Amino acid sequence: MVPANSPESDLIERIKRREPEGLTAIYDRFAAAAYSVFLRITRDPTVAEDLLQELFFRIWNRSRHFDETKGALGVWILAIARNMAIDYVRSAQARFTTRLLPIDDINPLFLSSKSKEVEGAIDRGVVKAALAALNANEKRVLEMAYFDGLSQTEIAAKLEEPLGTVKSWMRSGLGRLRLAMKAGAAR
Amino acid sequence: MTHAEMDELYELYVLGALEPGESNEIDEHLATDCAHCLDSIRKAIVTSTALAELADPAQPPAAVRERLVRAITPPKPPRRWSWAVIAFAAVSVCLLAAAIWSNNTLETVRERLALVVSERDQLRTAVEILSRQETRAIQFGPSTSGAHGRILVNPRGGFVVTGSDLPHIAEDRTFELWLVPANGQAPVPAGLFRPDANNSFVHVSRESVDSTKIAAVAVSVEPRAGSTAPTTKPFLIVPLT
Repeated sequence: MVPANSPESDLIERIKRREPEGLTAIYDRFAAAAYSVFLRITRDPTVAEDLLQELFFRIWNRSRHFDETKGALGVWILAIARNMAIDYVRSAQARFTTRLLPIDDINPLFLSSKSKEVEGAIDRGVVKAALAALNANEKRVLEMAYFDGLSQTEIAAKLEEPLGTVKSWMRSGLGRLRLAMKAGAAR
Repeated sequence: MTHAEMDELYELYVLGALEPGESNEIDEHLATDCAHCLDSIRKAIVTSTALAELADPAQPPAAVRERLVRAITPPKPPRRWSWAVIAFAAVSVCLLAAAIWSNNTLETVRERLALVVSERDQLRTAVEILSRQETRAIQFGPSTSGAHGRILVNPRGGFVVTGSDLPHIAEDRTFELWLVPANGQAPVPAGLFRPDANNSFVHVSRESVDSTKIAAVAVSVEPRAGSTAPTTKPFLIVPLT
């Protein structure tokens, strides 16, 4: 049995030693967040379940590449989850207009022992407060970019708003989020 | 673009929200392994990942965790006989008895045992492909025919195609899988299959699929013995890139 508050580094060490309890502890910590992203993007519970299972097999199979000192497992899991879900939806819709950062490019940034340490653990309280402070337009365009994988041009067309306006909403929303997270990390 | 200009764009870059021209410019710069920008990309991924909090919270069904635990938990060490051996022997004996009872000919017994051995070999190949690190999964469908599923490709060691909801076909027809070369040459036959009673299928091949040379996997309906070139328009074409 793995204590619920075990540090991420302990969990990574466990899965590197091929201990199933390590993976189930990671699952218990991050599965709900990843599943919420899968469900929001695919809007299909069955597909979301399949993708969730595939994600955790991927973590299990890639465990030897993880570096327990980086503390960025949650960020990596959610970044990969978003890419997997958008890839699935695009493949179903045969839509390839915008380009995501390939998963193979994300991996070395967070998992490799050569990668720099980042403020990996997202403070959910800070993030929730920052997202709650976004105005309706900022929130809507960021949701369309994050969950629907749309480019700024596609968002502008969908909302029938000028591209410059959409760019301004995107940048102000991301800027606020960035500043709030930076301030949260400094506390 | 200057570093300051690019720093403003990195969250949009990792979200895939930039236009191709801007993305390409950043790609070219990142190809130089600029340490400042790689660090900025990491930070941008952290910031953009915070947007996941905008999703309505949902709990996955407990069955997903149970399946995961079953799949990764190693089997208990065997006592004298492993359960797998006992199970295989029991299945073989049952098949043998059933064959003798139903037909009582050695030929039927041989055919059924050959089928069991072939299915076991296919299963082993599939497990090998699934367990390799470099194996890539490509989702497909639902296509216009309704078919959907997944292709797992290992660049050196074969591929597995699983799917369901295939179109109905006559008894004298079969589905044939094709590898479509990227250089425009004719599709290459890659195996025949028929769906099971639930209209699902699993097809396993040891054939190497180099996605730089094979553009897509396709499926068409063919005569029961298969064809050397598609005789009907493929109802499913899955790009591998």
